[in-house]
Amino acid sequence: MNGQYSNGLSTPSTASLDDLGPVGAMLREHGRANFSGLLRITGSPGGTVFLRDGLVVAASTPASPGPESLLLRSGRISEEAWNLAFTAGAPSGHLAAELVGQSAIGSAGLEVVCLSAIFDAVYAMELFGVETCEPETTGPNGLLPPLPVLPGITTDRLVRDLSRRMAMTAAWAEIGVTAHSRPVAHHPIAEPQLQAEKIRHDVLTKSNGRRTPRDIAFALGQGLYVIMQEIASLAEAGLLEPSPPELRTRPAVSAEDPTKPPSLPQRRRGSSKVNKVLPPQTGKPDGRRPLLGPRIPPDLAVRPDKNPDDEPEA
Amino acid sequence: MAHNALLSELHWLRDQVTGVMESAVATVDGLLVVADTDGAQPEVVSALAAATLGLGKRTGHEVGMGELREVVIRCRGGYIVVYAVGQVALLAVLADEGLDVGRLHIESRPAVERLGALLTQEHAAN
Repeated sequence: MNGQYSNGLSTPSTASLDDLGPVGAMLREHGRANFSGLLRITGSPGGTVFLRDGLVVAASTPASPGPESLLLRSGRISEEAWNLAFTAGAPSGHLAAELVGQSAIGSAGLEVVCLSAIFDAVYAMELFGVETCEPETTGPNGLLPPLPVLPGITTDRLVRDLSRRMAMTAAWAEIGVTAHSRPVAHHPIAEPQLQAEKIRHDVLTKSNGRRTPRDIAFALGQGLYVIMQEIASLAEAGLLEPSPPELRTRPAVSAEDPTKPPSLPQRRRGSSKVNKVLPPQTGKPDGRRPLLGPRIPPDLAVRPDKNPDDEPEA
Repeated sequence: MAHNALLSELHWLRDQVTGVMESAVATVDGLLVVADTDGAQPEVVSALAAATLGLGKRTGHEVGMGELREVVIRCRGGYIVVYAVGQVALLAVLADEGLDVGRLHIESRPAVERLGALLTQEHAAN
């Protein structure tokens, strides 16, 4: 935007909030027309927005984690509870009721997560850039994603929030934090003492020069905007480099010696190097496992073989 | 150098397709050729991808569904997609659950073609 945000984390003035980006314009147009159906938004990567009577009930994009990722990756809901509720509730569209009914999460907590996923998806689409928007009318019984927010959010509210977020993002771009930066942590920090600092610590841990803010958001099960904000704040504090000049910080793994002429590896004894990665279990003098008998992965707890009473009965 | 050309293809795929995290090229019998990995163990991924590809081809053939396009494994935390690269090699792609699947299907075909060309050059050079 304009250069008025020299201080990276200042609050933007309200004047810029009237700027309507392409996603904002699409949302406002279809919201005011009381559209019911879905908007297929193409872009890199684009996404889909679901509307009912002009209210946004869901939005999904590969660029930001949806409710399922936010709930499961962050540990807010256990895998087991999710599977139970999904089997029972998803086919009839009552996944949210099942999750709340099984006390996996409170109804207010669930709504906050689902709402934030919509705000985040709309922000992510705008941030990554969109091209066209194709409305598709589905009627009142059209299929919705698993966790819609009903009755929905007004597009005006979404657009207002989107403008605010985009203004903040423009300020972060000045210190090098963008959707495409791949931040690197300068040095690891100590385990956080307070729960509130945990996300800062987690973001630093995931900042290895390979991941974009979007990748870190997925890895942690947190919203894209929150992660961008955290990266900007860490960059201001000098704890990470937002966009290092050389993106490929880690050397590639290769079976070949790059100094030799290239050739495909041939299968000879030891050429897979799998014994280096998964060391064979000792027990035989030559280190090889017996050819007969099951191979038990080292991380599986097994009963000792010597007690035949423990064997399951046939 | 062919090695770097292979690696640039893997980097390119990661840059182009939202959600792609890691990838590896291996021979069809599971030996690692080159990998752009972070947390995954490339040798193990190579071996397992070879088994996956063989199983996919055989299953597709058995039920008469024609030539294999790719094998897609979907887990809670993401996708593992395995492509055959010509007759000699394979490409394994690891992605998170937000993967832009449509985009991957579009971008992976030319990438597989280019990888195939690079590997055939290598093969012929032997």
